[in-house]
Order: sequence, then structure tokens, then C-alpha cells
Amino acid sequence: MIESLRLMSVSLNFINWMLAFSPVLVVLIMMLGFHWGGARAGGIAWLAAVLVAALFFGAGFELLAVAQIKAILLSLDVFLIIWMALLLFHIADEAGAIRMIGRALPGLTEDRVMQSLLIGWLMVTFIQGMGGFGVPVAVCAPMLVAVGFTPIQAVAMASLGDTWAVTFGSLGTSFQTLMAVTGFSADALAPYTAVLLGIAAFPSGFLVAVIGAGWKSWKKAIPPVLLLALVMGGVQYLLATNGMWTLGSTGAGVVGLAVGFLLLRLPVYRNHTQARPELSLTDQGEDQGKSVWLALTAYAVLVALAFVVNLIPPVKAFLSQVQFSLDFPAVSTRLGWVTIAGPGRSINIFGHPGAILFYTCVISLIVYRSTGYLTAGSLKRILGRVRRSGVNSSLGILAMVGVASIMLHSGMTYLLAEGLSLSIGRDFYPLVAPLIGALGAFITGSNTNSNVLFGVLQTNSAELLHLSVPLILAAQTAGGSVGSVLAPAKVIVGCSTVGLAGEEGVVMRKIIGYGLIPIATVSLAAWLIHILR
Amino acid sequence: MPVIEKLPSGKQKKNVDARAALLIIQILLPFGLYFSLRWANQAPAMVIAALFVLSMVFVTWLG
Repeated sequence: MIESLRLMSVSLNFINWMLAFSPVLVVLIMMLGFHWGGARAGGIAWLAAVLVAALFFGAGFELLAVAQIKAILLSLDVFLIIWMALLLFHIADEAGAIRMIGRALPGLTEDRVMQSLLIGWLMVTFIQGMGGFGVPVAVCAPMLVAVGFTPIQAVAMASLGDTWAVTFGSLGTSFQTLMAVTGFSADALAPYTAVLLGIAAFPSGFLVAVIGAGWKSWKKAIPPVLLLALVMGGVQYLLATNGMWTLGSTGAGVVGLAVGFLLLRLPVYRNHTQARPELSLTDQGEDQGKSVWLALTAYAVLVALAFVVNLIPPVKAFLSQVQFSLDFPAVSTRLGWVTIAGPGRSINIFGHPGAILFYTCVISLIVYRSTGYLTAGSLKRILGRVRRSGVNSSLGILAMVGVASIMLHSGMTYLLAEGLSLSIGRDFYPLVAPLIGALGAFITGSNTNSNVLFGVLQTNSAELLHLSVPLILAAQTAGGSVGSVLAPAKVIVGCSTVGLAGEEGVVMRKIIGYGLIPIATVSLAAWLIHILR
Repeated sequence: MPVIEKLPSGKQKKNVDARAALLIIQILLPFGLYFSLRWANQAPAMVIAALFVLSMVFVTWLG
């Protein structure tokens, strides 16, 4: 979000720390305590952030204005993805794809554990490999609903299934950022990062399974989760430590899906004895005569285009020629926190993940229209639904990103992390390092932004405390990976595609409770590695 | 019928329209703010900022 920051003098004490934390506290209280939606809670948190920044952190008019304008650029970057993901989803839904997935998957397995894992964990991991900021949740949550999970279960499962895959997802953007801001090479950072995320894969998959199939299924869930976590974590480790970290999550997702489908050959995971008549393949309803494969064209095209655009350099270079950004002046608070001049978020107009989704939408519309899967009035219905789902979510994201940007520009976010890092001694710092990463990602909604914000702080803290810097940085980005999925901005994206817009507070309450488990696992693993080194 | 559609009532439809208008306002106002600041026009910048704050209050009120 911010290209470069420099701290001059911000006094760190408990009152300042609590003041800096207050906008986050407002979001948590309103969403978790009062079940407010993202837009309403974000709006009041934004007003709180402006007041606290102006009254207690010395933010002036120009600083607040610059922070908000940068927030709009970042929000536009996110809106492109959300609106296009919603468009793709509603096109596929109107064509019958989502209903048909809902009927086809029980044909492969009636086992709720395996259904949960296949969509909520393996497919989410695979999609995270190629596209970020909520795309995996936006795509997979509706599929889970179609299979018969409740919307709240669906968002929680897809979000938690994504927790371990973010750092090496989106072609390794967060990891690349960590290297760039700290100056450490992939050789130094990849081993610890891949190990911590591999360990986080187990609670991630386990939670998806028990949320989907119920806690009574925990014994049944452990063998496939353990096997798949080992396989996916191992593949990610091998790719990351051999220079192919850009494909860490994609490769893990592909191999995970292959092993997952192989597991379905075992009678215990096919479980056809529990057939549910309402999902029978013979009950085709309005989709009578349609081909499942043709209905899935939208998602096949998405995967193909994502690979082509991201993995063929000339195509990527061609589409990256037009970028939109704005230049900003240096701004500073009266307390001495300086944000250096530079460009804001750059939006790659034709190579943006949202643009890839748009190309997919156009191709899918043509295919579905020419095959009769969409009728004359379909497009109007689709656009109406996209508008209804997208508007409220976008208002929430705009407010949340504004809060994050104001906190960053007034030095509040840095003060939060500094307070955490300085109050913890050497022995326990590895326990706290992932929490700092998670906090940054929770506030900004992004693992990448958390690494930008706290990469240098974590490096300095590790050096001062004579700790392994690569281990602490790995803990930072692994914590950021989990924290980004729990962020209000991302939960809003997930809720928008399953008809839960405005009810994000209920979903967040569920997700945050479960999300503490993978964060605690990463913290414990980092601490154990520190002790055993 | 799609899998997860919620059909809007008349009041909800009005709400969606109001929110859509607010969203457009909240996206466009900061660009006006940017160019006002760039051209060193403090007065229009203040007016735009005030409108933006009002729009955020309205978002909170609308729920």
C-alpha cells in the first residue's frame, strides 16, 4: 500500500498503543459483538480512525487526504477482482454450472469430509496459486453452497482452507515482496517459510473438514488431512526451495487435487450408502440435457487464461504495457512520522487478475449463449444480481481500506507492531512474530501489505534479539498468510457471493475463532524451531 | 432460480440504489480531492473532503 516509510519520532506508550488500536477495536466490537455488516462497521471505524489520527497522532488535512486517495486506488484494484469474480460466478450460475457441480460432486463422493476437503481446501489452494484477494473464496464458497453446505459454513471453510496458501499464492507475490523489502534471498527465506506454512496446512485442512462434516467426523478427517497436508506441504517445500516459489501454491493445489481424487477410489471415502435423494444425478430439473463439462467452461477458461497470462512472459509483458497510477507528495504527521513521496498503487489495466476474469466472462458468455445455456434475458438478470451483491461489499471494502491507509500514514500500524515486538523478550519473540504478521494482514487485508509494513521491523527486532532473521521473517509471512484470510475486507468478498452481504459480522465471529488455531500452530512451530536450532 | 439468490423487496431495492450512488460518490470524490490538492486549490479540497466525510456518515447510518 505504501511504497516506503521512515520513522522519525513517535512515542510508544500504553495509551498511544491503545489509541492506535482503537479503529481495529471498533471493527471487532461492531462486527463480532453487535453483528454489524462490513460497510456499517467500516464506516464508523473510518470516522474513528480519522479522529484518532487527527487528534492524537498529528495527522493534518493533506495527510488524511493523501491516505484516502491512496486507499481509493487500492480499493479499485480490489473492486476489479470482486466485480469480475461476481460476474463470472453469476454467469456460471445462470448457465447451471454451480447447480451441476452441486449434483456432480455427490456422484463422486457422498462423504462430507471429502467433499469439504476437495472444494474447501484443495481447490481453494489451487485457485489461490493463481489469483489473490478473495478470488478463491469468491469462486469456491458458492460451489460449497451448491453441494449443500450453509452459506456461513461455505465462507468459513473456503477462508480457512486458504490460510496456508497465501504467501506462495498469487504467483508468490507476498514472498517476492518480503524478499524485496528485507533484502534476503529466496534461498535464505524459502525453507523456513515453506516448513511453517506446511505445518499450518494441517489445521487448515482439519478445520475445513470438521466445519463441513461436524466435529464428530474428526477421527475420519485426520488420515486424509494428514496425507494431503504432507503431500501439499512437501510439494510446496520442494518447489519453493528449488527456485520455483512462484508456483508453490499452484503446484501444491494440483498435486493435492490429484491425490484427493485418487483417495475417492477408496470405498471408505466414496460412501455411497448415505445417498441423499435431493442431490441425485437423475434430478436434473431445469438443467436437463446440459453437459456438466460444457457448463464448467467458465472455470476451465479461467484456469487456462490465468496460466497463459502468468506463465508466458511475452503475453504477460504485452498485457502489462498500460498501467494506471497517481503520484503523491511526501506527507508527515506533527509527531514526525513521514511517508515518502512516490506513486500509489499501480493498476495493470489489461493484465490485472480482474481483467483476466473479464476476458473469461466474455468468452464464457459467448460459449453459453451460442450453446443455449443462456437465454435472451439472462444478461440483464446476471447484471442485476452482480450489482446487488457487489455494491454493499464494495462500500465495506472501501471503508476498511480507508481505515488501513489512515492508520499506515499516521504511524498507528507501525506503533502497534513496535509495541508488540519491544514488550516481548528474546525467548518468546518467535511466538509473537506470526501475530505481528497476522495483525498487519488483518488490518490491511493483505499478506503482501503486511510484509511491506513489518518486514523491516521484524528484521531489526530479530537482529537486536540475536534471533535467526530468516526464521522470524518466515514467521511474519506465515502469520500474514493466515491473518489476511481473517481480515474484514476479505470476509466481505466471501460473503458477497453467497448471499450474506451485510451479515459479515456473524461470519467473522465464526472465522476468527477457528482462525486462531492455525495462527497458534504457526507461532508454536516457529517457537519450537527456535528452541531446537 | 440460482442457488443463493435473495430477492430484494421494494425497500431493499431503494437501499441498493442509495448504496450504489454512495459508492460512486465515494470513488469519484477522492479523485476530485487529488486534483484540487495538486492544483493547490485548498477551498474546493475542503468542500470535497467534507462531502466525503458526510458520505461515510451516511453509509454508517444506512447500515
